[in-house]
Parts: sequence; structure tokens; C-alpha cells
Amino acid sequence: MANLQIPTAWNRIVVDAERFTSNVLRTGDIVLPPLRRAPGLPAELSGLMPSRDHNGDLLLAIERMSHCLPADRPVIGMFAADPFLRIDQLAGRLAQKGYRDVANLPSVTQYGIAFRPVLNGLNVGPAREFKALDQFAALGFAVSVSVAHIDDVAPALALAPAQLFVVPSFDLWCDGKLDPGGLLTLCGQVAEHRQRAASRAPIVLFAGHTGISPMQARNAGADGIVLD
Amino acid sequence: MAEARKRGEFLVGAAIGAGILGQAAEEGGADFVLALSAGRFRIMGAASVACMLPIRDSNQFVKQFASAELLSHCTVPVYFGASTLDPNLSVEALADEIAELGFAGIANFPTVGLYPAPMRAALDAVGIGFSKELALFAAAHARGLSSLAYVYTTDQARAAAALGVDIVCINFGWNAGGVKGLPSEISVEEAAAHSREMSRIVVRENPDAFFVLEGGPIKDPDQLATICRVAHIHGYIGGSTIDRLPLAESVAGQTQRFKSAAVLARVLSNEESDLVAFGKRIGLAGASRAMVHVYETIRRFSGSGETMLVSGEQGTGRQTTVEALHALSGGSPKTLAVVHAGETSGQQVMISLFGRSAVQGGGGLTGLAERDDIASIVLRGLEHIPLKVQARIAVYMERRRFTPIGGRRSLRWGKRLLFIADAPLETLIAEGRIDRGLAQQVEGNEIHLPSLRDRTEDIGELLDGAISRLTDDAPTKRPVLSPLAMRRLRRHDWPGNLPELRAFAAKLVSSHAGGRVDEDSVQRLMSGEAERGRRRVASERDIVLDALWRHGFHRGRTAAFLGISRKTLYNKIQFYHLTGRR
Repeated sequence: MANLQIPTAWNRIVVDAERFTSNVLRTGDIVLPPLRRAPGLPAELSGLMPSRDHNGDLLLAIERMSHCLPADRPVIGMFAADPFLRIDQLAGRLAQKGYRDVANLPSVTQYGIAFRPVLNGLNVGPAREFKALDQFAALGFAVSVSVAHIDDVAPALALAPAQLFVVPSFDLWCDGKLDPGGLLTLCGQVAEHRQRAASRAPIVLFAGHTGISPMQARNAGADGIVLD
Repeated sequence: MAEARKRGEFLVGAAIGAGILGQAAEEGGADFVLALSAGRFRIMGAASVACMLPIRDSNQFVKQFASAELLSHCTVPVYFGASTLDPNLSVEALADEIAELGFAGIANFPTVGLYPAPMRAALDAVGIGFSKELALFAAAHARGLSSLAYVYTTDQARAAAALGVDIVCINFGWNAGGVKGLPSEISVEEAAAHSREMSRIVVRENPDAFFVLEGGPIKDPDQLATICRVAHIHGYIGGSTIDRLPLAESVAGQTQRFKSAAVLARVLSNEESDLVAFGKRIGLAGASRAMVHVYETIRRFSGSGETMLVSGEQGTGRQTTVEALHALSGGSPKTLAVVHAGETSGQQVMISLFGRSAVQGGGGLTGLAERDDIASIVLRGLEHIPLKVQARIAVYMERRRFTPIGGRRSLRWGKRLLFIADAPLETLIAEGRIDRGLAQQVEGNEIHLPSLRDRTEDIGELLDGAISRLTDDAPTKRPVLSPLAMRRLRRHDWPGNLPELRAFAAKLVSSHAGGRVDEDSVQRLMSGEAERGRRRVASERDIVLDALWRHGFHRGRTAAFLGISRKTLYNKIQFYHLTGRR
């Protein structure tokens, strides 16, 4: 009956290190450092630009974040392909504050399929991200995996993810905007794969400002949706 | 720089990320320096492509190291590698800051051009594409700063030149080569074709602009020279080619030299040097600790006449060792007999060694043990001899007497037995492949030859020896291996041991006679790939490119050669993108 329900709304929470974050983070929150958003571009795609230090800002933000309540499971978005990422350090800081959920968000898979061989060839591609998530899982974290292409679904499911985040990539850019049809198709393909793999990981669709409605997301197999 | 160009000098820019590299490049004659985030990431141990990721605020990052390390140490102009990929960035404010800090100019780096086409289109649409980079150049010009535009397409080259950019650099992508390099997407020949077309466009739009190259397949000056022969270019910018590749090579090389020095000191400080000379005399080579131990054992047993076990993998020099043991006991090569146990049955081994009596039905056979002209017998493949045959040999050896097969009379045993086995005695015993009695007889009389992977410090000397033998008549044909190439060889497993090394030396001499051999070349030779630079002419694209090369890119002559019209040739050049990336 789950597919008849309206998808759960997830919240993107941007935590700024400059300001004190008094709100307690809850299940259904996705926590990111400031993304320097470009007008007209989805937040996670804006976050891929080399104008910010995602993990550095995240570490600073964690210092400002309140302790996570035991019953809550907000997901922390890290840039997992960072060649300078110290997994032990980040995991330690998160664990100290009671956070147990991480995701590769934004993800290098969002750059698009053509950039993938370059990134993988130089060890800063999706393979590195999946390896980093695997290391977090080994440390006892629940991992949510971002997928921007159908090729990413199998390795994502192999990590036994807590959630599958269906995120847009630049490949879906068409006629000056993000193609909602392409994003929904990808979501449907991910749902099919999940079913074949007998996985129960909820699918969360990052719909951004594509105009995708919660009902459309549900019809494409999403269990949750992130709107702007 | 303008004066240098008037004098017809070739400009060289160093795209780097640390003060010491700026100083070194300037000392080498660099005309300008580019402070790029990619250069800094390389020094930090990451690949250049890290500059495209959200791991640093690019402009802040460059500002920090370039102000402190480059502006204070370099006297040549320093360009600031500025990114306009920050949606909140004001190009006017950034240009102000760069001018105030004292930089001579601005380069658009990291640039949108390095991203794939769909991403470039998206960034253009939201206002942080190439047009914003052009706006930054305009702001730079307004402040009296020089400009350097990285371009990837003909449209970008045209737009940059039309704006009055001082230096237009066609970038062929991430540099090939080394451990943090990718195979280039295009060949040197293709790069030359693109350069030729792009330089025409740039000069047409702005005759005063410098047209320079960077990246992709250009790894060394020879490859750059190949392009210069075809395209009219004013200079070159080196990034990885100026820092990562030579730095990694020289640091690794120097480290290895220190390691080698320690090995040599060890040999020379002891009587081991005497043993190494002894090893050479008997046909073995290498000064490693393992080989010195081998020489010591051989010398200890020389002249003893005792039964010996020579163990080791195939190709480690076992035959040379048994021949040496025999010779050192005063035997001539003619008095050494070899029985290949691996290629025959246990019964045949017995007959070969001890003979067969005529009463068995057939004619009698005299065994090696009975022959007066034989002094030592080599039994190759001890582990292949059935255990009961081994036990019989052990009994004969102990009693110093033997009986031919089918015979009744026992004869005196006076020969020396030299066994060859693939594994050391300890392993043979543990795996039950040697008779206990025989094992006792050879215990303490073993010479174990190390495999090549267990004495990697000898590889240089062994390879030198093999190459010298192959190039005896022409020493100038000897290839010179870089330290990283040697490191690659030391990391190889060498399952075929010395014969494999000799075969590799032969390949090296035939493919790189008199040339320098880098790590990539070794990798290719190891994996059996085709020789570098050998162009395959297969597809129509290759044929057209090849024909253009043959005719110095003269379209009329190329068209005539191919038997097509100039128009058709033009269409094919466009179709196959031989004029630059779209």
C-alpha cells in the first residue's frame, strides 16, 4: 500500500557555520553546508562548483550543530570524492555529536556521464565515493547513496543503503532548464532496480524546482521528495 | 613579453602552485608564471582535476599561496588563475583585488571549458559560463591587467581573441603521463591539426595576440616540437609537465639513488666484494645479500665432491650453479651428465643412472654411475622422481655401492650427484615430495637461488649486463632508463626470472635504441602493447589526418593525394573535428 501514499517530504537544511543552529535536526532532514546557489540551478548542482570547501565547511558547521537526539536520524551530506577527506576525522566528529547517517551529497555522479572516465581515472570519481561510503558503513554509520545515473544503482544497492537519493545531473539539462521527464524516468528505473534487487531502501527524489509534484514522484516510485 | 615576441623568442609559462617551483621555473627561463589551484593541488598530492571539485574556494585558495609564495619570489609576470564559477562572484571586485595584490594578469582557471558539453551549456544558461570569464577579462583590461584565456573550442578562441585577450591558450585537457595522469584523448598529430586551425582563427581576430598550447598529449619538448613544425604557435604553458612529472621523477630517482648507495656501501665494506667478483667468474651476477650468500655457499663447497641440492625457480641460474660446482671440483664440462627427471619415468631415471643388466630380456645398458668418463651427474627435477626411486638412490648413496636394474652384482659408486629442484628442501620435506633418507643426505648441502623478485636491487645491474651484451657493437644504442622506469621494473614479479629479464632487454633495445625510457614505456612493453608513437591508419579519420600530415596540412595537395575535391576534404576535416573541439 506504500505506493499509494503521498511521498514523505524531506527537508534540505543548510547549516551555516557563521550562525548558531539552535534547531534540533530531525529524521527527514538532509544537512548540508552552504552551497552558494546559482539562480536557476538546483542546489546540489550549484554545490559542485569549485568555489567552496564542502567538507571543510561541513566540519565547521558540525561544531555549531546541536547534539542529535537518539530517536532522530538526520542525514549529513558530505562530498565523498574529496581526495583530502579524512574519514576518521569526520566520522569521529559526527559520532561525538550523535549523528549516524551520512550520504554522498552532492555527488560526482551529478557532473554527468562524460566526466566520469576522467574522474574515475584520477581516483576522484564515483568509485571513490562508494568506497568512502563503504568505510563509513564499516564504522557503523547508516549510508544513504545519491544516484544520478542508472549505472550507479547496482553499486549503490550493494552498500545496503538506508535510502537511495535520486539526484539530478547536468546530463538532464535541456533547453535551458532541468528536464523533469528525465528525472522521473531515472526515478522509475531506480525503483525497478530496487524491486529486482529485493531492496527496501526508500527512494527520495530531489525534485528541486523542476515542477515535479509529489504525486508524479509517487507514480515514479519515490517514497520521499525534496522540494525547494 | 612583447619584446621577447618581437625578437622571435618562444614563450614558456609555468602553471604552478608553490614558491620553490616558481623560482625554479624562472631560473629555467620561464617568461611568466601562472598561479593555479591545480598546481597547488598537485603539490598537495592530488591530481590536477581536483581543482574542478568543491573542495576549496578556488580564488581564496590561489590568493593565499600565490600572494605569499609567488609574488614575493618571482620577478617575471605572475598571472592569477581566477574562477568565475562562484555564482555570487563580482568580476569587478575580483579584478580590483587581483590588481591590488600586484598580479600582472588574470587567467580563467579553472574554466568551464574543462567540464563536459552538457554542463557547459547549463552553466552558460545560468550566467556562470564562458561569457562570465570574458567579462572578467574585460574587467582586467579596464584595470591595466594582462589576460590569458584558456580556450577549448573555436568559438571560445574567436571570442577571446576578439575581446583583445593578450594570450590565447588552447588546452588539450589533462596532461597524460605519470601516476596521476590519464591517457590523452587525442594524439600529438591531432593536437597539431587543432593547433594549426586555432592559431589561424586567433591571428585573424587579433594579430597581436600570443597563441600558446598546454596539456593533453604534450609530455615532453619533442612532442611540442612535432606540433611546432606544423602549427604557428608563440609559446607553451607547462603545468604537470613542468612540476608533477619531473618532480615525481627526480624525487623518486634521488631517493632510489640513496637506497642504492647504501647497498653498494654494504658490499664494499665487507669481503663480499670479493665474493661478488667470484660470482661473476662462475657466470652469476648480482650483489644483493641473497646472491652474496649463494656465492659464499658455492665457494664453501667447491672441491668438496659432496652431493648437493640446488633449489630455486626456473630461470634463476640453477644450471649455471651446478656447472660451477662441477668445474670447481676440477671437472671438465665433458664429464658432467644431466638427467631430466621431469621428462621421464622413475624407471627410466633408474636405468639412466644405474644401467640395466642384459639378463632382463633386452640388451644391457651401462648407467652413468658406471661410466668412467662421467664425474658428476645432475638430476634435474628432483621433485618429479617417485619417492621409492628417491629412496633407492639414497640407499645406494649411503652404501657407496649400487646394483644395475636386473643385475645381481653390486658395483662401487664413485660419482657426485647434484640435484636440481624447483623448491627449497624445507618445502619439499613439508609437502612430502622428497624421501626422508635422501633429505637427510642433502641436508646442509643446499644452495637456494633467490628469484628475481626477491633480489630487486640486482635488477639494474642484470639489465645493464643484458643490454650491454645486446649492444656490444654500438654502445650508443643503449637505452637509458629513468629512475621511475627502474622502479616499475623492481615492482614487477618476474615470474620468468632471468630469461624474462633478458627478453625484456631485447624488446627495450629494439624499441628504444639510444633513447630515454620512462615508466609508461616500461608499462607498455611489459603489457605487450604496441610501441609508442606508431600510428595505425585504419579509419577514414586516421587516413585523412595522416594525409594532412604527409602534405604539411596543405589542403590542395592533400585533396589531390586522396583523390577528392578540396570541398570534400574540407567537409571531412569538419566532420572529424580536425579543426578543434566543438
